[in-house]
Amino acid sequence: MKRALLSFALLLAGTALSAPSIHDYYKVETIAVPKGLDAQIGGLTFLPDGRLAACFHRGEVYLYQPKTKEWTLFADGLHEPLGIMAEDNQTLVVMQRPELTRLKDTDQDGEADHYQTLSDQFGMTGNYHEFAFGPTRDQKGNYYVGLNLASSGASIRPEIRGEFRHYGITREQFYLNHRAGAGRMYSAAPFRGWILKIAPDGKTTPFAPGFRSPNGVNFDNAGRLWVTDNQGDWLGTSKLFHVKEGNFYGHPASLVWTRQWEVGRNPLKVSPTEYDTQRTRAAVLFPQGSMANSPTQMLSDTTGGKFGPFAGQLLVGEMNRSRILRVLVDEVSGQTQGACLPFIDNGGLHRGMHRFAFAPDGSLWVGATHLSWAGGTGLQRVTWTGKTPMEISGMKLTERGFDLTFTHPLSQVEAAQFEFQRYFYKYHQSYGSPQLGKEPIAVTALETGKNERTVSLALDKLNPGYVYQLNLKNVTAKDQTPLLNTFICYTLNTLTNGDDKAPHLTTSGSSIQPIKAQSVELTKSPQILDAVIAGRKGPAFERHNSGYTGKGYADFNAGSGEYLEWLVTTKEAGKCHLTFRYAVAGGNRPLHLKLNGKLIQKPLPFNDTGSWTTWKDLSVEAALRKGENLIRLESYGASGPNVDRLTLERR
Amino acid sequence: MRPLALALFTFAISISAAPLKLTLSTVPGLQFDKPRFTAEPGQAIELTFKNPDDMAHNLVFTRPGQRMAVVQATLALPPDSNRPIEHQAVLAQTRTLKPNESIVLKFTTPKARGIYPYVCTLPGHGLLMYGALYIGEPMPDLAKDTHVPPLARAKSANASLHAWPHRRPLMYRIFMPDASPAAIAVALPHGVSYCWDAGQCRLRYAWIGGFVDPMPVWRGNGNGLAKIIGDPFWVAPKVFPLKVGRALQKIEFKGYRKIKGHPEFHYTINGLDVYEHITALPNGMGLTRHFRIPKITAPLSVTPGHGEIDAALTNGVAVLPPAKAKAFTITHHHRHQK
Repeated sequence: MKRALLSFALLLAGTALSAPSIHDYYKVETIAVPKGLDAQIGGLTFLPDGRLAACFHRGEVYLYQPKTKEWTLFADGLHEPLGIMAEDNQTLVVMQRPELTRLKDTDQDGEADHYQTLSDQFGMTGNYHEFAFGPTRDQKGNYYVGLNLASSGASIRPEIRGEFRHYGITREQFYLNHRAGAGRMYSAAPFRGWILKIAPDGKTTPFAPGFRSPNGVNFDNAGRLWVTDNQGDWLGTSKLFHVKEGNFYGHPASLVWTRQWEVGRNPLKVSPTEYDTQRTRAAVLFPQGSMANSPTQMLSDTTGGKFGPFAGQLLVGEMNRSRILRVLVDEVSGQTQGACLPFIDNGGLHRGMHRFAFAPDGSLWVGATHLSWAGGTGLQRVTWTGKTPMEISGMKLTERGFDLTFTHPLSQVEAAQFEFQRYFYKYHQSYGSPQLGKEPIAVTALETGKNERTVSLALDKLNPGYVYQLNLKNVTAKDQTPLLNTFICYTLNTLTNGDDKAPHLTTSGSSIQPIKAQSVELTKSPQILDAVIAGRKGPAFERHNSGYTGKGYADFNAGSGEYLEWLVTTKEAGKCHLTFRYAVAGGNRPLHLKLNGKLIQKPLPFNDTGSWTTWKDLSVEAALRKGENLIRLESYGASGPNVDRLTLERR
Repeated sequence: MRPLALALFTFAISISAAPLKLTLSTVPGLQFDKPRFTAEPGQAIELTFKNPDDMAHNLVFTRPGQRMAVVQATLALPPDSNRPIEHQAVLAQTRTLKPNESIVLKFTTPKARGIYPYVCTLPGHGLLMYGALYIGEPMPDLAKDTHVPPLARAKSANASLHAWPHRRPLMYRIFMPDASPAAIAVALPHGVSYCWDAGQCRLRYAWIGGFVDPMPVWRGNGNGLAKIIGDPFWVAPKVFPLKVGRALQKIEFKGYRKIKGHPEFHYTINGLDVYEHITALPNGMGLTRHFRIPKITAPLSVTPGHGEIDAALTNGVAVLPPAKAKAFTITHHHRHQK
């Protein structure tokens, strides 16, 4: 009877605790903004006197007094301000598209009257994608800002600011046809794709190149500079970089503004392998889709515990989901890397979490934007209820695997509850990357620490250059409270012994030197010609994505000028169906089809198949001549799909 | 139901028998307060026309589609003339009203249905300052009505651009046509607006009428240009307006101060501080650029580019001695172009 009662009580407790939600730990409230305001928030900061300053899409800067809930207009007329910092109660520094500006209320009437240009020493082509982000400030008072690349979605304006430079094309030629060799994102004016350092006297120094869309530029408590970047060309997935002066962070368009860059050299025609040796890999990768699509600002938890148990950790905003990301930094063999996991997931936050600031009371103020993409608008305030959620609070690499730390003592766990898999994102010119080399990784040993909050896991395979994704199954605290977030991804760049070699990240199979096609005699119909026997210049021979036939498939890399060709001999001339089996995700990638050097009109429409593992057929009719026939697919601006094989069938 | 319908019908008849009394006012920036209104065919109108603006205006009703014909015909007349316009397309007209005058205009609407324009025919005003009297015709959506000025359409489409009331001066740093990407648009009082280019540190052009429609830029991610609403009256020549000495000039933008809401731009020419402050002419027919170069010690060459400057011009260039170059003005007038 006693035992029955006890289990009944446990059951009750279990039911009561089985569904704790984020609302038990963090309260999210929406702050009313002035009526009529387009409340897309570009920047948030707190003044020393406790008021909040916010800048908005249409160029306004407002001050908000939390005590009275009153908004007052401080400045207006700014050009897409995307970041703000306070110098004192009368002075704000704001990054707008054309410049870093100091706004000062010199006559103390509550409104800025002096708009001082701190630096406009960078170029603008007027391309819509040339956003300007920041500022953040180091301890010496230097400001740091991030400059977005231009997008091939549009051209430059007839008039630009600063020098034009684009691989030997004149500004006039480029204006007329910006797709000619532009690449998906381009840097045609000084320092697009760079982080700039701006001294208090306005002296502007290019600090680090290699960025695509460096929306978040911020220092953490430890004085490290962090920059987020977005999935796209050269970025297999979105990233968080630990940035140091002079390092290169992976997107090559900005390299044309380095001193050593050869004039007229096209960064898009350099092999990714060359860049891979020069680049600094991201400290943290945010897996596209599952973790984040568009990370924004990084903010370190400076509240000393007022905001919960994560003091000192990093928070990163995300545009597409109702969540913030939490980053657990790990220093391994002198390198910074770490893990990310969702935070306040579906906890009532708007989408489009763009900018953050901690109030003096330790509450987190978050502002949303969309700029016509996915996102939201408005201002919210997040406060900790004082209850500690059951969460992962640390993930550290060890010699054998990982040590996980939790906020509460754990109940009994076993290896099967820790489902690891690993994958990598390719470093290449194409837009994004599938998760390649994906495989489950077995936990070979598990040990629980004496404090019952730590678990040491040994893994079957531990190699640099992979994301180790962990899904935790039914892991609970001692009191049965389930883990709030059960999904975490660790970016392993460097092992504890310092090994960081990861040649698989680049297109090691990429063919810079042309490879000749093997000649094949047409003996039957239909006859299948695998990609492995094709000649090629540019495309890599790959096996990462499943579903291909034969030995593998050819993977187009550069935007244009690459080809893949088959050489077939026929005994007699005649019409033939050419069927290409291919896969492409995230857009259409038409190719030119050339038969014996002659362009068969109309590009072949290799349209989106939905994923890199979904293969489809595309057929076209062509008249083969007697003897040798060279069938060539050539990229001319939109890169190309993965091509599995060619099937020839006589009519 | 029947008696009620009958009663309404009678009521309507009795209204149209009495004169329709209404007020139409001018609004600074070459606008009428009502972009359009309706009346019945053959209806007596008693219209009080008020001019609270700080410049002179008149009010002329024309036959359908004849607004520009009448405006063109009045070009020959001297401004502020009180001579009535003699034109077959004019239905009714007031004399020219000075600021703060008002007048009552009585007329009977034509029997023919149609859309009858009303306009201020003073030089330069007729292109922007007009409206439409709908007689027996249905009105389309204001945002789509091509019979009202573009500004009225834009206002209707974007009811509220900010959380604070619109007031001039108003300025936006925004993508503008025919300027560098670091452009600034400023709306002065009296309907005068200009584009100052922070990328080149000079005034690029000026216009009269409305300000800009910023929505092509604001609506999305910035892949658009603000649309000028109004009538351009001055465009800068290609050369930089100021030249100090013979050395190649390095020009750097330093920002601006707001003086009663108006920006005074600050830039340097080879380190020498230059300030430029722009005001509208009191009659709204142009603007004056007030330059200050407090520390200048060398002569200054000025290319005013179709502007008035208090100095002799040689090949379009005035050379000011340092004492004069410390503070001088250039005025650009709105000259009506055919």
